[in-house]
Amino acid sequence: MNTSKPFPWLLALRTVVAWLVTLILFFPLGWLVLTAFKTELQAISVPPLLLFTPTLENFTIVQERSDYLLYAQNSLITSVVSTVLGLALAFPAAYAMVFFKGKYTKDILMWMLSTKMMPAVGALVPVYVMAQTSGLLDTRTGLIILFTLSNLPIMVWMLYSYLKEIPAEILEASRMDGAGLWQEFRYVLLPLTMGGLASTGLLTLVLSWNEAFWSLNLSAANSGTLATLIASYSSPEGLFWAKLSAASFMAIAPIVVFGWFSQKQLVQGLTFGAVK
Amino acid sequence: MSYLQLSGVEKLFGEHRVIKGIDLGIKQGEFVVFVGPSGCGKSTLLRLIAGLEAIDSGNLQLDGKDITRLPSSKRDLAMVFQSYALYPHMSVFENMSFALKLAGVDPAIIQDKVGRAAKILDLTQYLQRTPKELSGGQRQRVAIGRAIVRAPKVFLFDEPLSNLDAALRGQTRIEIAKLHRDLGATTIYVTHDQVEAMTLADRVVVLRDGNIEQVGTPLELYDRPANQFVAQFIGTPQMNVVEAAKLPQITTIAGVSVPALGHIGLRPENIQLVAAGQGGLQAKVELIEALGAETLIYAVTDSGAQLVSRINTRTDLRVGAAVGVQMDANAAHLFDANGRIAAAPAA
Repeated sequence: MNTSKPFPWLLALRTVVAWLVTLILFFPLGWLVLTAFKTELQAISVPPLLLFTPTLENFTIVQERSDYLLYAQNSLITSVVSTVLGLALAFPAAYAMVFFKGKYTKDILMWMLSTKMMPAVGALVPVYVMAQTSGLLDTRTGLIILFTLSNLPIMVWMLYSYLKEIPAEILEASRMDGAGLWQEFRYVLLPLTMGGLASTGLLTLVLSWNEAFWSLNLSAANSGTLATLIASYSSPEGLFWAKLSAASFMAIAPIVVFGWFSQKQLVQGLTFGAVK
Repeated sequence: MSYLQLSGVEKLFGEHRVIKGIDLGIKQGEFVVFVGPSGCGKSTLLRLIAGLEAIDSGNLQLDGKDITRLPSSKRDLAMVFQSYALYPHMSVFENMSFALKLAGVDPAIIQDKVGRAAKILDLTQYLQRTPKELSGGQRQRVAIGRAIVRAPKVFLFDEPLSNLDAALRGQTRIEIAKLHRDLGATTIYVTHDQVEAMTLADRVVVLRDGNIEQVGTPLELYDRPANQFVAQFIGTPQMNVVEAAKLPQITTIAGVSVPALGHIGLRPENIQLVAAGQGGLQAKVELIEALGAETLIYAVTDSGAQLVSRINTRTDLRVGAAVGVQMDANAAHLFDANGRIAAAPAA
């Protein structure tokens, strides 16, 4: 990497570009927050209003019209349970792939990832029919199963990269020291992969929370997540921008706050342990 | 009956037989070194004994018990790895006490045992540090400490010194020898370095291509190698092994007449370079290595034989000088066309 100091004008240019990109990225989110505090009339006024007297009316209406807490609860339960379940399935799989590598391990990994390359809608009809016949339509269990399965490839991949960083000899040493499989996991493997487990878990939690496709198609009043709550405000009788924004704001706020606090772990996780 | 007995032990990696039926008995308290060139299967053999790889056929007995299929954790063996394989998230104390903790030993006894091992290995002041904060030599000692704290039935060492620099390697070698003398523990030590093998071992096992070439005390291997491979593997510089045709002066060795296709082996110390015109053969000096205490002189004879001579004095010879070669035929080894020993000097 070039560490020499760039010319001042280059530095200035970089700063401007960086700010520009940041603003472009942030603008929709910022606009959404602003709109959430406007009246419906203010929301659609041309030219757009930047200065206005904020109102909490939208939030009250959203809570009255639809039970926010129920949706939030559904989001929380489906994302947390699917994450925990996913970790429990992905960790042993990744462990076996790293430390008991077979002839086809690489192929299996590629195959797992390839399932993420197919658009989800391609599997919509069979999944819908299966959910319907097994009585899992509009249930949290159904969503949990789907979230877990759709996140499994990426979880296995992330944990695989983490576990690969652990020298096999350390695990062998623990076996020589008399550790059985459980003790090897509990005293050696777990402490050494805590960071990897945490960031994998965090990422899947965020992915599940934000998941919209399956929740929109497979859930309704009973198991709807916050994603379905947002979608319900773009209704046939017209768009209610302010209420839609308020609902969106309420839906994304928890995960944004959560993401903010865990960003260090997340970034670490996304670099796949490359930086030790 | 040996303490540790390997009978017909085999290992396959896919189609490839890497260990080809090893029979070997190791006595209690013995220090045995597996030595051989890379790829000879010495580390694999150690891992088979450790239980880190599965034995494909044959069996393994320890202290009268069949342990062929027993998992590593139940074999009561301790291993020191080449990379040390310390637990990076544990302190030195925790590293050394891990096995005892798993075995459910009383904390007071653990404290005592680790304390004593740390004292032997000069680690007392480092017990609270993590492996990251230690030097290579200290990590090596922790790895050894982790093994001795347990007082296992057999110690296994897998090239433990190859990550250390030369000075530290020599020093640690001496420490390991001392430790073995003090503890009297049965030890199997794998190395590719024949100096380590010669200095540490009670008995050396020379391996090649998954087979045992020879088993014996260090000096037995040096004085009476079973074949050309062992003869050239043990000893630095290597034994001179020359086609018989290039040394017509030597016609019989220990009463055996030299066959035309045989090879004659002579240790460097059994070859003297004398003034040109003297000795049985004439040669030209090619290279001189003055090591201080000894001098190695490489020469090529007129008949085309490459020879190295070792003397314990300095030399006035220069590269290119013409010299005579005087060989001690009584110290010569004779190898047949297949490289097996045909005649050896009288003991």
